Amino acid sequence: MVAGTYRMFITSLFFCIGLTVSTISMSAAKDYFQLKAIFLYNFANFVEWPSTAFKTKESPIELCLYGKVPFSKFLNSIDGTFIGDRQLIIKQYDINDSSKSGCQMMFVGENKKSEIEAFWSNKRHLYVLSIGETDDFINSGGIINIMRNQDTFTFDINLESAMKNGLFISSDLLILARKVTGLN
Amino acid sequence: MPEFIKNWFSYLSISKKLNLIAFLTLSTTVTISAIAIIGFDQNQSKKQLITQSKLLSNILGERSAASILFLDIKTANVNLSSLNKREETLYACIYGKNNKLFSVYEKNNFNKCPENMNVKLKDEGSLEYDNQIITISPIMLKGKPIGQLVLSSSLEKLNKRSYNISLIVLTILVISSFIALLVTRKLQKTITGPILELSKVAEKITKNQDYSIRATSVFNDETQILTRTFNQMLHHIQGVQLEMSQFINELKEDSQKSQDEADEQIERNESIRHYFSGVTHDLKQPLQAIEMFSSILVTSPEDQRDVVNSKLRASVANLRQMFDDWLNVSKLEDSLKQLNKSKINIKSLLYSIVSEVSVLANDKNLKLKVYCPDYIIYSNAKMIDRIVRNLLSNAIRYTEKGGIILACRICDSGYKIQVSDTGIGIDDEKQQFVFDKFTQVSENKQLTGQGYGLGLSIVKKFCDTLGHDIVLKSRINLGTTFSIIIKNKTEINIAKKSNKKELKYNRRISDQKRIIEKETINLTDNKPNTQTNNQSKNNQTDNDKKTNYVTKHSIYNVFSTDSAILVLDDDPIILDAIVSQLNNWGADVVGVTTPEDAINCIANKEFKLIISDYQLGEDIDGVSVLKQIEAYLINNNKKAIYSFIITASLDKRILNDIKQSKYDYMAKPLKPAKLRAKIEFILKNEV
Repeated sequence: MVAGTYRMFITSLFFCIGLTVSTISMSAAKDYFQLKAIFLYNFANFVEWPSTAFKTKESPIELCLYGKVPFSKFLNSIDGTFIGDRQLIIKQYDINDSSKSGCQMMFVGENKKSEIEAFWSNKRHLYVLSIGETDDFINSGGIINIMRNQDTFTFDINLESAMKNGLFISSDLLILARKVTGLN
Repeated sequence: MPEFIKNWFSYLSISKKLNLIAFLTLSTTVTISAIAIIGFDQNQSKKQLITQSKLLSNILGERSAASILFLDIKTANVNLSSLNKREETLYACIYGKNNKLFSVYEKNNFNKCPENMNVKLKDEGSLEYDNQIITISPIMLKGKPIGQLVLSSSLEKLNKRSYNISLIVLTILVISSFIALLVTRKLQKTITGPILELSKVAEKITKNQDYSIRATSVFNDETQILTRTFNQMLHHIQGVQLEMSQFINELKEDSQKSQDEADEQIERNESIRHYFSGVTHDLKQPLQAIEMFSSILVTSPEDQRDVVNSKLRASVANLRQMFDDWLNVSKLEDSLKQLNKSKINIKSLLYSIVSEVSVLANDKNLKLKVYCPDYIIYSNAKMIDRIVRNLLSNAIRYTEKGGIILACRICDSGYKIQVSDTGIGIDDEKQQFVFDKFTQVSENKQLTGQGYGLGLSIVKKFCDTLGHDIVLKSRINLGTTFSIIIKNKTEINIAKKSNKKELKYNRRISDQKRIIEKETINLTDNKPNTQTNNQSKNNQTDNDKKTNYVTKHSIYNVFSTDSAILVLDDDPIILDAIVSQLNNWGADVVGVTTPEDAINCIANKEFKLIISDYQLGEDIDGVSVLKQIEAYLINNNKKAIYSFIITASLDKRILNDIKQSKYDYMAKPLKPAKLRAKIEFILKNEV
C-alpha cells in the first residue's frame, strides 16, 4: 500500500515534472533526456564486466529498459554504438521472459521502483549494472542512481552492490560520483 | 680574407702571430663547441619538454576523460590544477567532443585558450610560439577521441638555462684563452727562438763580415732544417768570399806588378836618357884627347912621339873600351826584357869565367883563386856571367897587389857568390853611389881612365832584375868584397843527391872544411905579399898598418895564444871541423870529447872561452857539464870562464832547458861568420 502510494506519488511527480518541463520548454526537456541518455551510455564506458557475463566474445552489451523510460527514444542515438569491442544494444526488458534476460545494464523506470528489491534477489540478474533515478535506488540494491543537479546530472554509486554483482567500476567514475556507498 | 687584414697581419711579429692564431683557434673552437652544445642542449631540452608535456597531457586526458563524458567541469579543473606544481606550465585547456572549451587552467592569469578548437580531435602535435611550447593531445577513451588537451609550457626556463650555459662557456673561454696565451708564450719560443738565433747570427755576420760564424739549433724540427740550410748558405758564401778575396788579392798583385813594371819602365827610360847624356859627355873626353894628341903628334919632336903615340893609343883604347861597355849595356839591357831563369851549375860557370879573366890578373901579377862546390843555383846564366865578369874586372882594375878570390858559398837565404880583392877599397861615403851609372870608385885618373862607371850599375841592374841582393863590404886600402846573394833553396848537390838532413849537415861541414882549406891556401899565398907590403910601407900610419893586417884576416889579432878556447863535443868529426876552423883563424884551441877531459884541461890550462855541445851522450847534457865546470872553478878558486852551448836540436824542451840556464847558445849548423863574430865579440870584450 505504501509502495503503491509512493509509486503513485512518484509517478505523479514525474508526470508533473514532465508536464512542467514540456510545458515550459520542449527543447529543455529534449536536452535533459538526451543528456540522461548520454549518461547511461557513458556508464558503460567505466564499468567492466567479467567475461562470464557475456555468452561469447562478440556478445553485445545489452542495456535493458525496465519500466517506463521517458527518454528511451533518445537512447536510439546510442543504440548500436560500440563500447570498446562490444556493441551497445538497447532493448526493453520483459519480466515475463526473464529466462532470456542476458542484460548487462538495466535502467529501472520510476514506475518499477517498488519491484527493485525483489528484482535483485533474482540470480538471473547477476552481472547487471542497475541504474535508477530514485532516491533510495542504491539503498534498494541498485548500483547507480542518477540525480538532477541544477543544470546537469550527478550520481551516487553503491560499490558494494556493484561488487556483489561481479562488476568493476572505474576509479574515474567513482571520483565523479557525488557519493559512493558500500566502501567498508 | 680582406687585404687590409693581410697587411696588418704581415706586420705582426711571429710571436704575436702565434699568440693571435692560438687565441683565434681556441676562441673559434670554444665558441663553435659552445654554440653546438647550447643548441643541442636546447633542442634536447625542447624535445624533453614536448615529450614531458605530451605525457602529462595524456595522463591528464586519461584522468579527465570521465569528467568530459559526464560534463564534470569541476573535476576536470581539479585535474588541471595539478599542473600548478609544474613550473613550466603557462596554461592548459581541455576541449570536449564538440571542440568547445571544457576546462581551463591558467597561471598568473595567462590564459590564451580559445573557446573553440579548430582542429580534429585525433590530431596531436606541438608548436613553438611566442616563447612557449604548445602541445595538443587527444583525450581517448576506449580508442575513441572524446576531447583534446592543450598544454602550454614556457621556454623561459630553457632560455635561462641556455643563458647560464653561455655565461659558463664565456667564462671558460676567457680563462682558457688566458691559459692558452700563457702556454703559447712559453711554447712559441721553440719556434721563434731558433729564428731569433738565426737573426742574431745574421746580424753578427753582417756587422763583422765574418762568414765563419755558424748558427746552432737545439730542436729537432723544421727549425733545425732551417738552421742547417742557413749554415750551408753561409758555408757557400764563405767559399765564394774566399774565392773573391783570392781573386781580389790576385788583382791587387797584378795591379802592383803592372805598377812596378810601369815604374820600372819609367825608371829605365830615365836611365837610358841619363845614360845617353853621360855617354855623350864621356865620349867627348877621349875624342878631345885624341884630337889633342893627334895635333901634338904632328908638331912634337921625334924623340917625344913615342910617348905621345902611347898616350894616343891609350886614348883610342879607352874610347874602344867605352864603346864596348856602351854596346854591352845596350845589348844586355835589351836582354833584361827576356828574363829566363834556369838551373845553373855555378861551379862550371865560375871556372869558365876565371879561365878567361885569369890572364888579366896574371898581367898584373895578381893571384886569382876560385872556390866553388858543385852547387846548382836558379838564375840567368848570361846575367850571372856578366855580373861576375864585371866584378872580377873591377877587382883586377882596382887591385895592384895581393889577389882576388872568387867563391860560391851557402848562406842563410841560399847561396852567395863573393868576389873579394885586396885592392884600394871604397870610401864609406862613396859606397852608396857605386852602383849609380858613371860613378867611379877612385879619383885616381890613372885608374879611372880604365872605366866609365857603367860596370857596377850593370851589375846592380842585373841583380835587381834577377831578384838577387848585392852586398858591398870594403875598407880603404884593405880591399873590397862584393857578395851576390841568390835567395833560393834549389840546392842540388850533384855529387850527393841525398836529401837526408844528416847527410846534408855532414856535407856542409865538409864544405866548411874545404872552404877553410882554400882560404888557408890563399892566405898562405898572400902572406909573403903581406909581409912585403908591411915592409915597404913603413911610413904608413899605425891605423893603416892595422887595417892592412886586418885585410888579410881581420880576426887574427883577436885570436891569440892567451885567449885559449876549449871545445867540447862528443862527435869527433864535428869537433875536428870546429877546431880546424878556429885553428885557421889563429885561435889557441883545445878539443875534447868528454866532460872529464874538459875538466882535466881546465885544471892544466887557463881558457877564455868554453864551447860545449848540448848532447854529450845519452844522459849527459852540455848545461850540466858547464855547471860542473863552473862548480869546479869555484871550488878551486879559479876565474870563471865564459861558456856557451851549441846544439842541433829543435826540441822545444831542450831549447827551453838551455834558455832557462844562464848560458847562451848557438844553433847548428854553425855559420862560420856568426861563430867568428860571436867569439870575436866575447874575446874582445871578455864578457
